Amino acid sequence: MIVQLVKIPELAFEKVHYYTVLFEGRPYSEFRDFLIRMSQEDKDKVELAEINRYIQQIGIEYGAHKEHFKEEDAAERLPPPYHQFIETGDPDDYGLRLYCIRLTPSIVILLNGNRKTALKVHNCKNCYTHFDRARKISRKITEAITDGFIEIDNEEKEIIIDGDFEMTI
Amino acid sequence: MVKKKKILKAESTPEFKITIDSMPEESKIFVDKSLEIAHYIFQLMEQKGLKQRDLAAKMGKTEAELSKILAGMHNLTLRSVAKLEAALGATIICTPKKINVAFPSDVKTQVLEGVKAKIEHATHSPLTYEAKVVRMFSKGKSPINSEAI
Repeated sequence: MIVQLVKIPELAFEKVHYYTVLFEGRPYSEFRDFLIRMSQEDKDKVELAEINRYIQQIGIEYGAHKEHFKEEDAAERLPPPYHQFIETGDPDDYGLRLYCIRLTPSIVILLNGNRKTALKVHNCKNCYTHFDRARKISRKITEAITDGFIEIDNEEKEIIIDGDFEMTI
Repeated sequence: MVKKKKILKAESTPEFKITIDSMPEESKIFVDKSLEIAHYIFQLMEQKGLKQRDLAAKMGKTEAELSKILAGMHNLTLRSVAKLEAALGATIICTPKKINVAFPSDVKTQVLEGVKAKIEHATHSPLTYEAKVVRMFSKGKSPINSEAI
């Protein structure tokens, strides 16, 4: 599957510029797909808004420092590890997860996610695919940086990609 | 070294702003305070060169217990806040009275001016109760039990 990095113009804040990815053949980027899917049910809407507020405030005020992201294998996720999830009474409900890749304190790639329904992500049918793709993309980007196909411009908060580079997972 | 720069596509996400604009005020405050407190605690730990295990030892807790507090698995009780403040040697939660006593006047003025500007921006009126409280602080008076408000 070919993966393209995509800019999100409204999420280019003073401290952080957010990006996402588009899988070839899909109508929307991964982050937009997450936003659309999680806006359907009232149960998800408030949690989605809280995740978005974290993204916005981290972008405007704080910067993408590691304490605001929970590490998940080679990738990360939001909400932050200190976020207090309001339990719904369902013992298998662990709240929404948005998988992402914190490249630097000023560049973050927002991916996709869902409601987590098992303690271990490996046992969660909703989240495992998103988690697995996030860590695969993260490893590919790390490899591409090492091989010189991707450069990070922290001052401009920009990801620079070689015209000949194509990312596949 | 990248030889030929690829132009990245851009995609608008209008749903992002809609969700934030329509979220309950309580949820916004909850997220903002979570970020503010967590950021401040981690900043203090960094300034003081404390790792999580050092802070846990100072609080008489195991690293796992502290980790649960910082990970939001336990609600931060006032007792936990007190232990954190004692271990870090700094105030984490501050009331207006505390601002009046604890900070030097230049810092206090800056903080209060910031609060005042926010209140005025939010209400478009400098004469709200909160604005009067801020004005009294900035004049060095405590509004506690004051009948002047």
